[in-house]
Amino acid sequence: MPQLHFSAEETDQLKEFLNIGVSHAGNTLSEMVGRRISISVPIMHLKSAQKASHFLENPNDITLAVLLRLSGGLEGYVLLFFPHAAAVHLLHSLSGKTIGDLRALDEFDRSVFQEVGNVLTGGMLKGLSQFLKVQLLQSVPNVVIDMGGAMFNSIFASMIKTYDEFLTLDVAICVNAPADAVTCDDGEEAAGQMFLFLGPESAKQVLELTHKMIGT
Amino acid sequence: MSTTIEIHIAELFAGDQQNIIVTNGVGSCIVVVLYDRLARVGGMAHAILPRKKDNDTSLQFQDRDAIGRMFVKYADQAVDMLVAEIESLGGSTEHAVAKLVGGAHMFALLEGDQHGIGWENTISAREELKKYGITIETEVVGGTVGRNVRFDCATGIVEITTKV
Repeated sequence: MPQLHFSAEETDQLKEFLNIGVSHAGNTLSEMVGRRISISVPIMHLKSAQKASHFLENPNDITLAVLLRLSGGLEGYVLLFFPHAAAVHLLHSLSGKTIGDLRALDEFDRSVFQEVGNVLTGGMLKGLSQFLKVQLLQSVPNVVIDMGGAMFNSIFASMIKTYDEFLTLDVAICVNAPADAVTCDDGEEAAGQMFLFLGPESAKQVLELTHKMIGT
Repeated sequence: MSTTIEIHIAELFAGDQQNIIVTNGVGSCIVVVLYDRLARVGGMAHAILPRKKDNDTSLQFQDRDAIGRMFVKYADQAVDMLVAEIESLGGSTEHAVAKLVGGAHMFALLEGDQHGIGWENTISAREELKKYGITIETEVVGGTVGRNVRFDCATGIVEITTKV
């Protein structure tokens, strides 16, 4: 029976926690690509085996995912998720290379996305480490191209193996968004998503550390 | 006129020759298909983890949704439930064959070893089927790719789609 519950205030604090991280990540990516980056408001979900599916609108589409494991002060995963068009566009922005199908990526192209994973996650963890005053470490990035649904289900299985319930926080990341954009729309050039997967203990630890920081 | 039923991760459905059962996004999960050719009844389960734990309260969830899908979490539980479902539809383990799909290892860093959950799921399903003496007719398991599965209960044919 699902037990995990967060109050509205705690939910806001967890979303703000991700905001702090991704704003650092966005600045780092902006420097890397030389473009304006905008990031959406975080969305939070509690997941359990009974509430497993429906992560994605188009689970059968070919997508590119970069997965990194978090360790140190928090345990979990960071997943960068790019729909086909967004990944193709981002590769062109970063390397000048144009490809028609993601499945044709070579080792160099994959290393570009590994670097995107390092930069975005590194930027996020730097911001969060400074905020929480704890050491946060990331693994080597793992780049996979396949159907989005199968990738999400595999990460889901890994989380459910350890926790009966877990937390996901996600934001949309838009490259070259219009200056007045407040959300990421389909019309923008490259929109990916950044997911943070945290177990219950790590989520509670974030809340405890946040309470300490803001003195509540 | 056949009816297509889609099951998602952690779901199971069993039916007769009127039904086609599909599931998408199979990564490390294991899809167990059980089919009785004589009775022409069969079922499919999309299980997440290898072996059920006694203290898992989610095992109490036995309700069906509006179209008859049930919750299933573990590979061994999936085999037990499919056997019960097929017997309730007039089939038997004596005439049943099994097909296994999935059990991939999509991200090298998940689980951090060579095999991961996908392999454990496959082993668990095989062992549980063996307890019932059910032959595994076909296996498309392992590797690093995601799969979609379509099972026609009228013929027992399973079609598998990959996209890489």
